[in-house]
Amino acid sequence: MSAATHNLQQAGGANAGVAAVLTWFLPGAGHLYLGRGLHALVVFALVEGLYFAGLRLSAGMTFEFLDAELRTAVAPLLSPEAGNLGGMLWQLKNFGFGTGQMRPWPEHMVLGSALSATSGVLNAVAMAHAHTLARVAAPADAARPVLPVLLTWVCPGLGHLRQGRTARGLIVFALLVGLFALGSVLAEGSNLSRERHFYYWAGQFLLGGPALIAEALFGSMRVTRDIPYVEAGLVFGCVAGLLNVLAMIDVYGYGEAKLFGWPLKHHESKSERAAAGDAASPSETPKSTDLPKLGEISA
Amino acid sequence: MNEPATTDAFVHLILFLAISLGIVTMGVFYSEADDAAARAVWPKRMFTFLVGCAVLVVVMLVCEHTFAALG
Repeated sequence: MSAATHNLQQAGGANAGVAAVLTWFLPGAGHLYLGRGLHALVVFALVEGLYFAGLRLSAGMTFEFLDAELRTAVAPLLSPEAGNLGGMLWQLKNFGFGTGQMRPWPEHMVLGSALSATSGVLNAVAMAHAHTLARVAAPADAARPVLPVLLTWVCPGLGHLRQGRTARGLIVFALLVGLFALGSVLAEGSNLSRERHFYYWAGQFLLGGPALIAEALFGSMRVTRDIPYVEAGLVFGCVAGLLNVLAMIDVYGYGEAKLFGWPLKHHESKSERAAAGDAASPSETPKSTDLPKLGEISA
Repeated sequence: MNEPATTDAFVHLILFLAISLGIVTMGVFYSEADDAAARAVWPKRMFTFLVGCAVLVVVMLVCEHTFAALG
């Protein structure tokens, strides 16, 4: 049995995919399924606590930011709250899109809305943790690839620094925060409002800390005239957030490869494939196709 | 604000290059976990992305001149 195969043995025959999906519907359920009661309690309290604190502060009015013609049952699925599917469905059932009557936003609407969105991102991290936890022999190891994901959301590049990939971390930070800053300048701060740009904000929110700090500092700016490059600014902010998802996948993949002893991710070019085909002996660098499949291991 | 068309086009070109840099670099980081491998493939990926976008621009311009002008 190889080291990778040994590390892929699942706790008590539990399925990693089931653990992740359970967590998506109910934070902590995946950990409970894996027999980790304390983990389950912490995840549930943290994720649902944030969501319901957000609901209380925003009076459940977050989805009323959506324009009337966009208010369909699937519209909120493109918001960060969708990471906590159970919470989002509960909100939709109990608050929906409001009464249809115009009413003032609560005093802490922006904070409440951001807390509910943060709950969705944290639950996505909890899903990754449950998925990893189902595959490791020692439960403490599950945090190794997952913590850098959370750090990357807190500040792009921080997860790479944590893994000792300093140059990559600095490049990621400079690129993504630079794109976001340029976008905010082009949009003259109008991108920092969920009320104004619900979906662009959702993408931008994935940038994490820098977007939240910028919104706290400059999010209440008033728009009093035409902004020439507002569309470009919105796209830049949103793309910066979406690209941070690639950074989060990168740090998770790296941590996972290190944890299970897998080869690092590498995309083969045509010339490399040809060279490998011509070579009599196998290449020194293991290819991604050599990775054991989860289904094969558990079967 | 009325800017000269050449200035506006130049600004858009600079913005396009800036966002291309981000997209290609993060794409390379996503597909290559090793820094040396990422450095090696970056120029080709950037070139491919820019050429691909240029082809798309040409197709869109041809469509615009062929169809949108009819009305």
